[in-house]
Amino acid sequence: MEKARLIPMKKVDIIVSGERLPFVRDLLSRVRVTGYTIIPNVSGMGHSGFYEGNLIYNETSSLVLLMSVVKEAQVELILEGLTPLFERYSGIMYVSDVGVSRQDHFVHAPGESDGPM
Amino acid sequence: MKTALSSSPRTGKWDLSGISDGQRIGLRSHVELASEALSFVYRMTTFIHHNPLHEFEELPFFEAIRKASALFGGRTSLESDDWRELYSRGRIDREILLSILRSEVSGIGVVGEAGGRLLGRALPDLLEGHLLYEWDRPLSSDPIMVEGRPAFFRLRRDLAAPVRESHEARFGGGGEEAYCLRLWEACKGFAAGQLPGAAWSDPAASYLPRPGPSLTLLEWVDIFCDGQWKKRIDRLMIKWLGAFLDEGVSTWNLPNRERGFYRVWQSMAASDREILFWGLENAHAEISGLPENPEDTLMGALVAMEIPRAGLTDYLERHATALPGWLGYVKWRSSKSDDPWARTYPVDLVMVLAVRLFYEQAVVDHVCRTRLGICGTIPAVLEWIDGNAPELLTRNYAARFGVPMAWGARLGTLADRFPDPGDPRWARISQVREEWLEALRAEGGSRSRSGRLYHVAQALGLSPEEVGELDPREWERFEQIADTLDFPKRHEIWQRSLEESCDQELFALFEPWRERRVDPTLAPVRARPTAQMFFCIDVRSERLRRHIESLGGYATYGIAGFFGVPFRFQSYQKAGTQIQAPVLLSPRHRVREIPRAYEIERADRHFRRHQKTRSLIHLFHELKDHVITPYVLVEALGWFYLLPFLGRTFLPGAFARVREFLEGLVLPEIATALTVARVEEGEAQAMIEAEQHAKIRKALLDVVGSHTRSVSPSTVEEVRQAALSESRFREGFSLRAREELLLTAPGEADLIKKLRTLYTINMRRSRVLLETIMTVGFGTEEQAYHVENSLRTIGQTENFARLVLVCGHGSDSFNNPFESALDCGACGGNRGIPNARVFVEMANNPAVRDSLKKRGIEIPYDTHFLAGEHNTTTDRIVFYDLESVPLTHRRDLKRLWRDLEEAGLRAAEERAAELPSLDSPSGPREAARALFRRSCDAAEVRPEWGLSKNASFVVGGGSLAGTANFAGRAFLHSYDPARDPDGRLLEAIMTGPLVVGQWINAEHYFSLLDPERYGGGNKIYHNVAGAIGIMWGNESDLLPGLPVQTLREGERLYHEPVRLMVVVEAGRDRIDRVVTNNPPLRRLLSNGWIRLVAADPSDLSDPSAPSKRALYRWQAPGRWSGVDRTPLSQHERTD
Repeated sequence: MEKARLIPMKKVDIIVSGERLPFVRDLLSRVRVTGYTIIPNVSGMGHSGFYEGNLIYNETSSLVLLMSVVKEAQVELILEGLTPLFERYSGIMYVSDVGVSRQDHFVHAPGESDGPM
Repeated sequence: MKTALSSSPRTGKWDLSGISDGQRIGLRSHVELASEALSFVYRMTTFIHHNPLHEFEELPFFEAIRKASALFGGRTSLESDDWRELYSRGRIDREILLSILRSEVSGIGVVGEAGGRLLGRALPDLLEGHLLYEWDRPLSSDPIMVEGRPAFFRLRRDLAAPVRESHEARFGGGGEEAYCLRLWEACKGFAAGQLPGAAWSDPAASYLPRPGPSLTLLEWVDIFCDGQWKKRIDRLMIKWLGAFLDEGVSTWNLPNRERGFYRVWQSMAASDREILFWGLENAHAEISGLPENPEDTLMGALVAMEIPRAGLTDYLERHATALPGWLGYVKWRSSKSDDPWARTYPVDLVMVLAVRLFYEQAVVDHVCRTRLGICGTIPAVLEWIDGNAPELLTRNYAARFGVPMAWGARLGTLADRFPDPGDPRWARISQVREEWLEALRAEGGSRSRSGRLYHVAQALGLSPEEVGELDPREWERFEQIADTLDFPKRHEIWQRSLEESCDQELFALFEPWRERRVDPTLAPVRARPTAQMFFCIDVRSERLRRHIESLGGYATYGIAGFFGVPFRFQSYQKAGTQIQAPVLLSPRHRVREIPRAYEIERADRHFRRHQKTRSLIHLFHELKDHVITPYVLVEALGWFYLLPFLGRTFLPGAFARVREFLEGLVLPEIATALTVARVEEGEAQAMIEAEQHAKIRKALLDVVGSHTRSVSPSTVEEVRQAALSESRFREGFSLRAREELLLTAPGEADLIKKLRTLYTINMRRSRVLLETIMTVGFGTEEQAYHVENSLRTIGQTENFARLVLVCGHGSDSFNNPFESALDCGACGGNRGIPNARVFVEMANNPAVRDSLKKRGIEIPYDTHFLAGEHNTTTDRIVFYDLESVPLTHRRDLKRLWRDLEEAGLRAAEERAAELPSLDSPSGPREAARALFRRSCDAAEVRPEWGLSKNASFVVGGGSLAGTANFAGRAFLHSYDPARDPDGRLLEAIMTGPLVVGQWINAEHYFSLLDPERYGGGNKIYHNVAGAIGIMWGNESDLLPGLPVQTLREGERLYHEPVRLMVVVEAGRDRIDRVVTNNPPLRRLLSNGWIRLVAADPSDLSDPSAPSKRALYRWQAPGRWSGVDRTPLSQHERTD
């Protein structure tokens, strides 16, 4: 059996308040990522204090974690979009190296325009 | 560091091929940040009470008001007349006011010195007097001073009688005028002789406006053009936005709206000749050559004006906040991805700002080139300013405050019409201005010390001689006080006094609870209440709850109006879904309303009649909007419309009943049920299979022939399988099928093809259908989860009554664009009855009750939940789904119904006394009739007070509120601290319903503070725009808030401007934990947007416990201070 190859890509993790979620989703779709995962109601500690997380009757005040696997070129676009946001609002974003085995799953097929919008 | 946005060379202004994608994305982020100050403006049909300063909640309360004023131009204080009126009415306690005043001036060192007297008066009187008479602000209705000097020599009109008499006694020969002149001369002499330094400066006169982050180029060029350009651009934007955002009102729609706002504008603006009349021919010609992307146009405009990158966000923010209503609506709309209108006709803030800045760039370019002779860029403008500063100062002052009369005397006609910029005559005008300022400084400007002394002397009754003998040190101390208590500070003081006075009234209601003891020797006898009722926390429920409880045996609970069950609701015969949940949640479940099984025949007839009626109405509207037909229509149908016209005007109540009766004849109401239970996958497949079988049989009849009528089910199934399989049909049918169908091979292939396309029997459609069916409703465990959460949150988990009424609320009014504001905010601005019905069905479900039992909540077998709706306009309750009530509960039901009628009448009587009307109804029945009439009257601007006068939010059990009369001012949420050991339920309440309560309170407060910017103005000149919102007159910004009629009774205030006071029945450490773990809540508290008091539910039977339970006020995280009850003093009127 052929040894599975891992193709290096970048993973972007973004933690923002629930209120910023529509903007971040819009940004990711404009950058043309193929997909992302949202984990809602995360708890944690940061500069602005401790966030409890799962509030039964409120989805906008809690924190949300978005994860997405993207090409390196797209990371820069995401950075351009998020840097002004993080100058004003609390939240974090970090990029890590990951390897995927099905690269075509995370990349738009050639022929589809790769540019934003 | 890049100072310009794009440094790449460009061939033309709109050639932006050098812009990278990263820059485009970055620009979008800047726009997003620039629009942060805008708060959502919701569609009129789902009006949500929201805080117009929601985005300022990270600032302390009063600072936020000031900042918002700088950005939006809103007021920072109520009219002083309003405060004075509240004070004279006794709403503000004098002692509280004086203690707050003393604490404010304690820093100056006046208190305690010289026996607490100043200028011959006791200090408290002096402070109170300053607050009431505003000695540094002459009455706007009685301007005896102009430019700091008396215009007419007479006394102030608002002097107290004894003071006026003491002045009049000194008039002597010359009368009032001579006396006032003497007084003025004495004041001037005192100021000149005894007070060192002239101490007058008017920052406004020396403010040099520079375009940049706090002033747009558009506003700057307007200084030269009488402010007309900003108005023109605003009007242009309103025109385009109004045309684009219209939702069905206009007869002739903007074409091609699906392409998005920007593209539609670009294609249509070339035909809009309005800007040609303003002289912007170049811009008009450029429109057709603009880029396809709005980001590129925005970038191009910014680059053309050379806006620096630093401060770009603030610059865009000034543009975004120019029309906060319309742009707030666009912001809300672009955040809703599931709204059909938003999806079909997209618009977002980047598109809108691109259009606006294109126009700005055109105007600035035009004005700068034609009038100033420079390019329309920031650097060029700044250079011009440096060279022409005096002219700019003069122009700016004149633009903001008008040309002072003194200039006219010296300049003649030059003062009426300023010469062009750069004209040599400006040197003379500037010189006149300088000299005028000098003269004012010497003699005293509007804030001059002698002017102030003049006012104070009048108000205190000082004679000219006494003025001369004043102690300068005392006067200076007084001036310090007056400077500390400036206009915004006075508003703050008034407000805090009002809030504390209201607090004292509120805490008095808790006295019974503070002293209540439970005798430990008596074992509690558990008797079931006659019935239990869950109402919404809405302030309007409080009255009804109080009255129904007074009838004995009933226990009521308060819970957020959606009863803890969020879902999307598709009501009967409507295509779209509405969200029945607070805006803090985005529900994923769907519930449909379908006719009950026994209504099959009537439902069918109803459907056909409904179609016919709709097409008739549609036809009528088409005829009305046609060019010619209205002439004929008026002749033909005009007489018929006399009946409704007279009926609605003179007999609204009777007419409404007749109309209801006739509607019931033609389109009788169909009894419906809600699809609460989720269908299992197996069952869903079976449903789809049955439907497809029926379709196939029909298809066989149509396509093949009538001999297929007797085809066997197995054949039909075979055909179905063939149609559903994704491969091409090759094998052919089995022998038996062929015998029955009698088709040739090509005929069979043709049949399958037709089934797949025409009759949509294919795999994809089956999957869609399956998904549609299975996303409707809630699974059993989900149902148990929701019911358990709601019951535990309110603390009702045992001792259920035989009948539990779950009561949503809604309101009835006629011709009221704010109808949705009176409905339930927790249900997304809709009526609360669907949530009640869903909750009831869940709670009555035996499978759910089994699951609840496992979770620890045992609902007895004979408890039945019942859904009802409280009509808040008429205070009547209507029950729903009565078919499900078991026969054994018939008597309970009847008893409940009768008692609710009685309670409703009493509540109606109480409310009718507060509603202004020509005749005061006597007795409950008349009151109920009067309220019903209000709900059908088209001319009624105030069908009910709604949530006006809300002041507090009480979280606690029945014993906390007891039988206290909150007068419809409190949100009451039930909560049992004993059943919430880890504080999770309290957290759910404080982060959910409390936030909604705070929004409601803030909405009312700001609509009262500034009806024009944050509120809804006066209903008289309201104009419904595009069925989405309300404008003022022909074209104006969309009004985001509540109309004046909701908050005031004529000129008098009805709603009191207080911040929400939250009272929680729980220990302090539990509340501290909740607050610490939730930064948004902590922010609200630290910044003073809400006020919090803990009602400590300690056990008084413990011998070491204090004599009565304590209340603690929250000061900071972890810091509380005891609340002591100072008795409200008798208000002594000092005038």
